[in-house]
Amino acid sequence: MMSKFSGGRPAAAVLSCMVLAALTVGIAGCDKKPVAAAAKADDPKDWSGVWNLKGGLVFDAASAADPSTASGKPGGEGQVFGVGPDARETVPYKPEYQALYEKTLAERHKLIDDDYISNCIPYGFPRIVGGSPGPLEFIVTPKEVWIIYQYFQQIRRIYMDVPHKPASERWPTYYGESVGHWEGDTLVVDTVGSKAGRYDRTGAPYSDQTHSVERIRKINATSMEDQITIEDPVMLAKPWTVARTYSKMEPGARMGEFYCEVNRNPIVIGKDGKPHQSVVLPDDKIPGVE
Amino acid sequence: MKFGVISLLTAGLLSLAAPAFAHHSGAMFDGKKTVSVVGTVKSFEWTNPHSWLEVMVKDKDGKPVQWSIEMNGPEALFRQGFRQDNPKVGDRVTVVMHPLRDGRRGGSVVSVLLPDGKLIGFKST
Repeated sequence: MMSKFSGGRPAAAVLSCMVLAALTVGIAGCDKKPVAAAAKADDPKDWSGVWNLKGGLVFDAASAADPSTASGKPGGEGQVFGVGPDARETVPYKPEYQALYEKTLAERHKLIDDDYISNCIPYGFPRIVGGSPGPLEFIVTPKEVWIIYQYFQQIRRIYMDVPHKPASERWPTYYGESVGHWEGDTLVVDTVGSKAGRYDRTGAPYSDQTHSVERIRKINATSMEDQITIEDPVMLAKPWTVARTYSKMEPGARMGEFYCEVNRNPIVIGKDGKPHQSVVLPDDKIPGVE
Repeated sequence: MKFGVISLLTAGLLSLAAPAFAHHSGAMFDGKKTVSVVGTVKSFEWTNPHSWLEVMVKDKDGKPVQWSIEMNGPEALFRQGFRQDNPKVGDRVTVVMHPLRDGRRGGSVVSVLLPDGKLIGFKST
């Protein structure tokens, strides 16, 4: 019987089991799966699926609490930036930019706010690594890796195994220019050329001179990590290394559509002449128009 | 006519449910206060970056006034159990929110009690 099947042992074993099972119910050993179907170890380069950031959306959680009301703990009562309690990171600014940041933070706590995300402007890089709401996915191909974010349908493109273009051939863009290569199972991504922006809604600034190196890897079947080291010769006193982790959503999860369709939260200039986060209610007049 | 606005002076009752400030700072809402309204759904805007639930509520004099409640976008709401037609226009709902600091009738959702008795709360994202 077995000699007719040259496919090897698993096929023969399955067949013999089927025959036996047809003759007798409950033969011991017949519920064993063929070797090929046994649980496979997770493939560290299989980045498929949909992933969610763990933790809060603020890079610099250490400074995010409102000092007038906060309990002093990140994520504690009085928090106005939605920071998780486990996050505590501080941007290593040069003194002059630390002072600027502290001024901005103080303004934030007075509701003076010019965060461009409120106007549906892209997050840009490196801010996007700090997190945008909603899931993301990794599309890994030999020549390009894409990281696609549900929020605003933002895309990072990482070109594999090529050098950066000469500086004279690029200009600041939201996501800059990313090139990558594999070191074992870790994707190493080098990014330059991104626009100046803010690390998060606390207003922590970065210049258009950032140079970042990320090490993106799968930790296990359901976790990934993106460790980023950011150099900013204009604002930072030293390179800043931060890690973000992502957890895999349930099997079959899909990315949703997210375009900024009806934005009732534009930044408007207040009576004090400063930018403020607004909430436009149905009865309101158009902001800024009497 | 006992409806209208009920201020819950402490947020302790609802401490598990914090608003999700995704697209903008939540600073314009008073996270230390909660307001509960009972009313009739005028519209449910199932949109990004935020959905909005507009609810007609009777004020102290029995006059209908409109409350605007900011919620997550559709993808997040769907996962939380909302549907584009649930709640629907005309449904009677109870909404707990962190109110706007400036005193206008609006807030960031904390929880919604749907007509079928289902209570959906929010966690910070």
